[in-house]
Amino acid sequence: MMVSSEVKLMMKLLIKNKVSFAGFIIVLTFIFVGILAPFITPYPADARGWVFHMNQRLLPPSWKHPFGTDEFGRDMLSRVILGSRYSLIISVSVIGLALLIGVPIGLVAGYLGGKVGSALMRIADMFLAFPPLLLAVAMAATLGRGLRNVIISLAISWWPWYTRLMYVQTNSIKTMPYIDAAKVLGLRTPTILFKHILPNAITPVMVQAALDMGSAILEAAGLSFLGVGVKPPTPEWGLLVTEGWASINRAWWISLFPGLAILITVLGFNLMADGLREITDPRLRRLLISRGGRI
Amino acid sequence: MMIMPLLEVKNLVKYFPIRKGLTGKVIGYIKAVDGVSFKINENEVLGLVGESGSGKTTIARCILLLYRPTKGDIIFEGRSVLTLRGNLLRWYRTRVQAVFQNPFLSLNPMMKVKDIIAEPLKTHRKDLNKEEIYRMVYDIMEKVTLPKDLADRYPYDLSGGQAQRVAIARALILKPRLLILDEPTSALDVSVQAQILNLLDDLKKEFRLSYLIISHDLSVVRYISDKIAVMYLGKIVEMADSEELFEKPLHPYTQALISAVPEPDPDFFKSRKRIKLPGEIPSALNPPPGCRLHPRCPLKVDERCKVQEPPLIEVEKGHYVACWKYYRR
Amino acid sequence: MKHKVLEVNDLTIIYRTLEGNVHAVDDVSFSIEKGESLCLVGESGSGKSTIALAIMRALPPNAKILRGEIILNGKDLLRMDEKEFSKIRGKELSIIFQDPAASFNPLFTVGETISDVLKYKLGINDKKKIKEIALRALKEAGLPDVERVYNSYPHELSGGMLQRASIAIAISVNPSLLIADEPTTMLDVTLQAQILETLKDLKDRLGLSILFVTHNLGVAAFICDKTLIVYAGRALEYGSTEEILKRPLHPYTRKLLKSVPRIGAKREKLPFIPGSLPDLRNPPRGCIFAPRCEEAREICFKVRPKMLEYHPGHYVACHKYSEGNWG
Repeated sequence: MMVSSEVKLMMKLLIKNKVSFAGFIIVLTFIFVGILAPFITPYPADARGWVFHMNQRLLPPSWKHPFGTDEFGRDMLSRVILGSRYSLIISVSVIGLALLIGVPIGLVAGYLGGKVGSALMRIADMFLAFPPLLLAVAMAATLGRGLRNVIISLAISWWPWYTRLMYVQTNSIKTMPYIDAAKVLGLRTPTILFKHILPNAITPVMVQAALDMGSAILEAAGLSFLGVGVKPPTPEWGLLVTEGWASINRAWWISLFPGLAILITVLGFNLMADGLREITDPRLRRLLISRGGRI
Repeated sequence: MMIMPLLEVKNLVKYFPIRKGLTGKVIGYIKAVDGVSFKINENEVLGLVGESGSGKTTIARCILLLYRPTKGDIIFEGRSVLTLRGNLLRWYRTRVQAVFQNPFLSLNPMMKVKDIIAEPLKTHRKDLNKEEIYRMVYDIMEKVTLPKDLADRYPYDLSGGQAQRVAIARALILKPRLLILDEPTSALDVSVQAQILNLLDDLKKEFRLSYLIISHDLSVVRYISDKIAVMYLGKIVEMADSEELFEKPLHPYTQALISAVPEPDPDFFKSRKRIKLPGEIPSALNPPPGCRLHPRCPLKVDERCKVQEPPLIEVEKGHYVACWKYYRR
Repeated sequence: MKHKVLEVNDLTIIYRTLEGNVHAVDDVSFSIEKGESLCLVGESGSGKSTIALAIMRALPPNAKILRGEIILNGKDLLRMDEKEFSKIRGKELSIIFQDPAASFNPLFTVGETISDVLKYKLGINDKKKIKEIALRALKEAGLPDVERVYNSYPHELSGGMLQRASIAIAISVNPSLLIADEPTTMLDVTLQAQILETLKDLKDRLGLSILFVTHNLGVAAFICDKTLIVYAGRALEYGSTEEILKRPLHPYTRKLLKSVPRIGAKREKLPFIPGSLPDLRNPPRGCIFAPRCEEAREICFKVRPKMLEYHPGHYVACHKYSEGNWG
């Protein structure tokens, strides 16, 4: 369905823009480290957090422990590396789940319009009425701490944004002549929705999703910081920052390195998404791409 | 013996309500089509001509069941199509197909040419396997003179003429009886337009098709149509055989329309006498009472024109006009 | 010799794209004398709009002018800084667009728009005088009830009236050259005829010089003294409109004229031009039309034909008409 030449072209455009390419490299590194984390941590047991080394508490960064150690003597580098895996799991699951709920609802609401469409959109609006983090905090507090609950809480506060975006997109795509043509051909509504509207409407949603991957990491960290996130000693970055908070005067490195990891990763997603947005802007593309040599 | 027409449009009316405010109170109607009747016989081409706002596209969309008519009936092969459901509706969809104005907008940009053309078969002919479907796709591509190597391309790789031929192939693959052509060449260049018009003419003979061709361009319609109906503000003002209409246009609006077409011939402008209509088409929200042309009519307008609507009457065999000038009791 | 208002010499423009350079305009030259109207006639992809945009200095950012000069009243527009050019745009050079709404800001009335143009371009400060000129221009453009139009916002006017109002703005500054870029393409035929008649009347009465960009040979026949036929970025034929329409020389022009369906003609098969535009990233070496030309010979694929004067005032770029090349 998706055009391979289209993908090639997007890569070409992405590489052309230095800044967004840097973002792309950061994101790739993040994903890579996240997948390989259990195998590349110098001290796997420290990373998981179930050991104490009382003789090496709060060591500043050194060759042996480049990111220093924490209150229980665990190697911070290992914890930050493994933390990338949790951040990856959280961002992919939250955004994936939000897309899975939000996109079909927006698509159906936009296509049907009328009373059903408005009813669906009013439901989405109810969620949008709360500040997103507040809603997530409330949810997480109700469900209790833990990775799964963090994902559920964030996804629930997230999906209506995709519903909105998809709704607007669908509304404009559904008036295109190729949708009229599909109706005249007697295609069934699900075919029209998923084969003709969805692929043509999804691009801005995907750009937004790429941007949101960074925000999801940030919000998960926020939940941890507020004490309603993952359970300790899970080395989730937000929790690592929080754990270092108490001893920030004596051991700045505990909070600093996970904080930097969050900063750089979120920045990477933002830069990449900015590039993607530019690439997918039809006005800009018209200038860069000729149609088989015609103008 | 009367032959049953392929398609009959009976007293079609389509009003679009104008709503205002939160309550959606209807404050008026755009009278896009206001009582239009015509027939299309088998293997016949009817041209529907009019300027923007005349309602010609609305009629096409009603026939294609993209709009629900406010009043009137559409009868295809003896069946009223407005109430069709289920299998009968699917039957109608295979019998009546459409080609739209801009081929780049009427083809899904994410699909390959061969899949665009195959889609109707995949929907309506579940009995065919993949191989048979694509064989039929290549057959129809040949019929519309599309090179085979375009099958794996995407619409944006095509030229305007090629893209329009893809749209025609898609419309023809189910072997329909009637094709609705909504401005099929207006988005194309002149040299390409000629190709498409020739092709449509050939295909009509080969597949025994009927066309309803909608256009603002009189010369295009003349080239392909057997009969022509001229529309103004939601009404048919004149209808006749193609030759007859151009040789002996009776309605002042038809005369004005024909005389306004610029021909690429310097002598043409020296010899022609343009019949001028002052001003522009009024809004269909409040069409003028009586004859809708009367505020712009170049003829002498009397009281009756301003008050009473002229009926569409047959003044000569097969030549219908709605103008009081030709009305005799 | 008459005064030349506009002279375009060897204009060559490419568009830089990721898939290579598209040779949009290749070595096009023409000129317009005072009081003369020239039609740039071509199909889509011919480069006619690119030429018009180059004259208005409004090319998209990925376009690059490789060669050539555009001389308006003796000054080369391409060798002028933005400040200098802004004095010319909208004063010596005015423009009518395909979409009349492009000439107006929806937040201002037609009168305010015209007044601004007169104030800043002509430096008139007397309010009464400005209104007087504006109303006269609106009247010249064939608008009824000019006082009402003057006080209307663009959305209150119909398409035809708005196009007339944009003509009024264009002529109110007494331009040396009026560029009309497909000004009637979006209008219905009866309206098109009205607007064309107005433009022709203005040209005759005010002695306007017009560069008219169109794809419609019928429009060219009506309004233009001279015609330049462009195809795939190159000029193929140039001469008086009457001469070109009655005695077309270039095989492309001939074919194009034949493929127009005519109202007065018998219903028969329309001739058409087989094939499609060449890939302008790699234009053919010889004549640009050769791949689609039925009369093409070996030389046509090898040597690019030059524009030569075949009859007095009638130029054509085709080997068929150059002695020695054609056996």
